[in-house]
Amino acid sequence: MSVQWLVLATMGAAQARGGDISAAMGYPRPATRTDRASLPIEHPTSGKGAVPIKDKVWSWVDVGLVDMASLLTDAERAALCDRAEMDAAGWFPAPPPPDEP
Amino acid sequence: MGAFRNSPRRSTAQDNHTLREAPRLGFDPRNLGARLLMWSRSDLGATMNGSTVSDWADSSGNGNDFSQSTAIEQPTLASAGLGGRPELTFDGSNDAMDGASFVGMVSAADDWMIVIVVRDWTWGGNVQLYYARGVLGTVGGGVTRSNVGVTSEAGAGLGFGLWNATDGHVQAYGDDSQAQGAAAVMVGVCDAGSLTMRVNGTAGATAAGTTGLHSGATTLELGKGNGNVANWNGAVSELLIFDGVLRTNEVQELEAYFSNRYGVRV
Repeated sequence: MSVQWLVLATMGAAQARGGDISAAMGYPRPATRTDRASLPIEHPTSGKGAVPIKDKVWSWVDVGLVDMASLLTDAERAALCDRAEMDAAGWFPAPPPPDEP
Repeated sequence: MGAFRNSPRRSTAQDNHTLREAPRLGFDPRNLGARLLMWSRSDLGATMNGSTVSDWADSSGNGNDFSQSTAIEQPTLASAGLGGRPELTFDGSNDAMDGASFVGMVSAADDWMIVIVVRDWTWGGNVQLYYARGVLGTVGGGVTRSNVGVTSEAGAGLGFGLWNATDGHVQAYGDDSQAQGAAAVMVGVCDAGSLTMRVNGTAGATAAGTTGLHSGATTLELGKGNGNVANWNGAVSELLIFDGVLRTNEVQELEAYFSNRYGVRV
C-alpha cells in the first residue's frame, strides 16, 4: 500500500475535498473513534493543500476496504502525485542535520 | 456448628496433588520491580474501525493509550501473528498512532525501559538509526528526541536512542545478527543515562553516560517516531514502558515470558 496525493490550489480546497471524501466513506464515525478518512497537508511555502489517498482504507458506506482513488473523478485520478513527485515539489523538506534540533 | 464439624472439607492427597500441579498464575509485568507505565498488547484493548485500529488501550491502568482518528493512517489488526495471536501491522507508508508524553510519564529522564515485540519488518534507508525506520519514538519538535527502530541492512540493525543538547545523538544496538523481518523481543534499557539494547535476550554494547531524555521527548508515536525516519513496515505484538530499570533476573523473566507467549527464541 502506498500513498498518493491529490494536490489542490489551497489548503482550504484540500480540506473541503477531503471532507467530501470522508463523508463518502462514512466519516466522521464517533462509535469507532475515527474523525475522518484522510487528513490534508499544507505545502510549507506555496499555500497549496494535498489530500492523501490510499488503497485499502475502511469505508463504512461500502462496509469494507476501498481504494480511495475510486472516489475521485477521472481528472483527479490522473493528477495524483506519488512520493517522488511530492518530494521534488518541496512538500516534505529535508530533515535538519543530525545534531541540530 | 455441629454440622460444620461433621462435614469438613476433605483434604486428600489428590487435592494436594492437584494444587501442586496447578499452573502458575499468569505472568503479570505490573508486579515487577519497576512501575509499569504502559502496557499495550494486541490481543487486548484494540478499538476497531472496520479492519483497522483506531485506539490501542493501555492495560497498565495508567490510561496511556495510543490512538489514530484518521482512517488512512490506522494500522491493521491481523489475526495470525506471533504465537498465533493478533498483531498490529503498519504498512510502511503512513500508518502511525499517537500516545502520551514519554518524558511526561517517567519519574527520571535517565531511568526507564522500553520493551517491544516486533516481526516482519523491513530495513530502514539509512545507517543512522535516527534517519532510518522507526517503530516507536517521540515527535516533539519534529526531529529525533527518542527513537526505537531499525537501520538499513548496512547499519547496526535493531536499536534505540535519544538526542539531547548535552550528548547529541546517542544510539545503542542489539547484536547485528537479525535477518530482515525476524521476530524480535527488543528491550531498550536507559540505566542512569546509559543505553543498552537487548534483542532476544542478548545485550549489545552499552552507550554510556547520557543525561537522558530531552524535555522535548513528548508525544509518543507508534509506527514512526519523528520527522526524520520512515514509517514502520512490519508488525507489533506488544509494548511496555517501565518507570525505572528492572533487575537483570526480572528482565530475563520478562524475556522468557515473551519467548513462551510469542514463540520467539530468546
